[in-house]
Amino acid sequence: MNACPDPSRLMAYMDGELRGAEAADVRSHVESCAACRRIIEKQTLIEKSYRDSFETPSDESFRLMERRIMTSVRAPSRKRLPAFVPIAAALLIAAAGVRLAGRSGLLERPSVETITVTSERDRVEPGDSISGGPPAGAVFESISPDSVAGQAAHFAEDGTALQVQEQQAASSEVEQEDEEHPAMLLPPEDQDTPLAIGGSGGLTTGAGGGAAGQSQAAGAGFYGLVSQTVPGHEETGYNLADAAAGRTCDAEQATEGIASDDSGLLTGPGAEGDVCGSAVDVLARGSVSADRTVSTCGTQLETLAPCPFEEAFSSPVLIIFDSDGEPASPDSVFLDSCFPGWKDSLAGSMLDTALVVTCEEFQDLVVEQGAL
Amino acid sequence: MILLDVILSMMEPADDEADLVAKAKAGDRDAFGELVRRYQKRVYRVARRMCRTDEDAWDVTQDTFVRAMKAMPGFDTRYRFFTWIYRIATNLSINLSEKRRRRSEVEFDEEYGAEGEQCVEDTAASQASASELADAIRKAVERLSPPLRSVFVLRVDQELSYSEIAETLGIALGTVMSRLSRARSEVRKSVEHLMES
Repeated sequence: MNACPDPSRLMAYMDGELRGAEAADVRSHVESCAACRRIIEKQTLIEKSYRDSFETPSDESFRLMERRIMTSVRAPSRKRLPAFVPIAAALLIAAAGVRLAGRSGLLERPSVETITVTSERDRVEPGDSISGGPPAGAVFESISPDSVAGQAAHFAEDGTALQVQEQQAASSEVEQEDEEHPAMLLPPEDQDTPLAIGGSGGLTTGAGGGAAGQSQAAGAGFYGLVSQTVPGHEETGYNLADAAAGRTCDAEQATEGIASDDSGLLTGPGAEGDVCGSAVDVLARGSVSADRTVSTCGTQLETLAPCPFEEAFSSPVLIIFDSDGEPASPDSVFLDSCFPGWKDSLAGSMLDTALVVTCEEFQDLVVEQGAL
Repeated sequence: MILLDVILSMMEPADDEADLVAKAKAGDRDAFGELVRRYQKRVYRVARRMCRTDEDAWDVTQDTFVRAMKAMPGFDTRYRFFTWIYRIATNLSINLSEKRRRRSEVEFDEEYGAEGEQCVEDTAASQASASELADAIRKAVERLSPPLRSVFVLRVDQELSYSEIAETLGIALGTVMSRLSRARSEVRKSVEHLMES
């Protein structure tokens, strides 16, 4: 009798996944090996019991679910945070208080808290300085919530906005985002948090690094980074999400399948076309190198380990309330994990406001609102 | 019953589904609605197997389709729709499970740690009923790490082929084999006492 097959081969045989000679070999062994037969019998019994034990809900439950789903996808996105607001807020924060909207005279609502942005308009004018904010080549694009117009600004190395282009906005905010992320397969976390908007030709500001600013290092940057799965790199995406959620924080796993090219853009094996584009979007403006360091615009920030979660806890987070008082954050992956229910708790407590608070302060705020 | 649905849905003419997907991709919500009707039971079942509560499973089911609708224009037709939707459901379930685990880590440890072990052993010492066996298996599966649990659920409960699991989770075929083997081994060991009794 041959030696017992590897357990994974035995299971593959049981599942009918082996073919030809390989299947014949295992079959021949199993017929003469009581131990392997016993394993298969036990496994079969367990799995049958597992399948049979499932209680399927009533058809009415599914009809209700279908209605809920279709109502959700048909509902207008009134409550959705305008895509550009967090990005604009990120730039505002990065500018350390430079009030872009106020400078252009278009701020329509007064400041309530630390920094206020309106959901109406935020403008970047040529010559506006965003020191410490977007890197050279960064593209800031905004789409106005009323779908009338948007603008794009290209920034010089010193953070000065070199060129501002008015853009025709899309007819629908949702459609615009989807077009910008054509290969998005799965947003494991809050899709309301927009990712970087921009083409694959340059580094982009966005929910990840953009929101936190370059000085915030890998922590918050990663939360933005991992808020999307890279199509074609699902394993990578999963591992990144895993790392951000503090499950493994295994640098080797987190960088598995990822490389950055000379310009710092994220690429991966098999990455083609839209995959590359999405990778860039996902990464915002950071990159992960083969030696496990995280870089932004060529500046090494830190290695992936230790767990970015812990570091981020003492870092500022950005919370944005839209005109309906609905809170959102580019750091929602982190916040959802640490402060479940925070959105419900804070909903309606502020309007059209962007807060920058440390996690400790945020916790106090949420406790004050009675969520924890 | 659900398996019958699975089989029937797989027997739908490919052209029909390709047409539906193309229409949904172009923004046809009725076509998307048909895809919801066709797949929601399967999605719910995956979510229910991955999440600890029924409420979470329904939330994941709804969220899966809402997100899918938003992402539909970018759907890569090289993938099969059902593997794509499974992937969304699986990852959302993992996210939610992780969130729940962090919220009630102590409760989780109490339920699935020492007490959980004790429960299995106690049950093994008595005459095991079919429901006790099913309960022990369910707990054993819930204790699997998310990567192992997702492979286990997709194979054992949904009866996907290894290549379909690989496509759904975006992992290599060899990874499917090794994870599945480990998952089954862990589950088998957890309920072994019970089976022997």
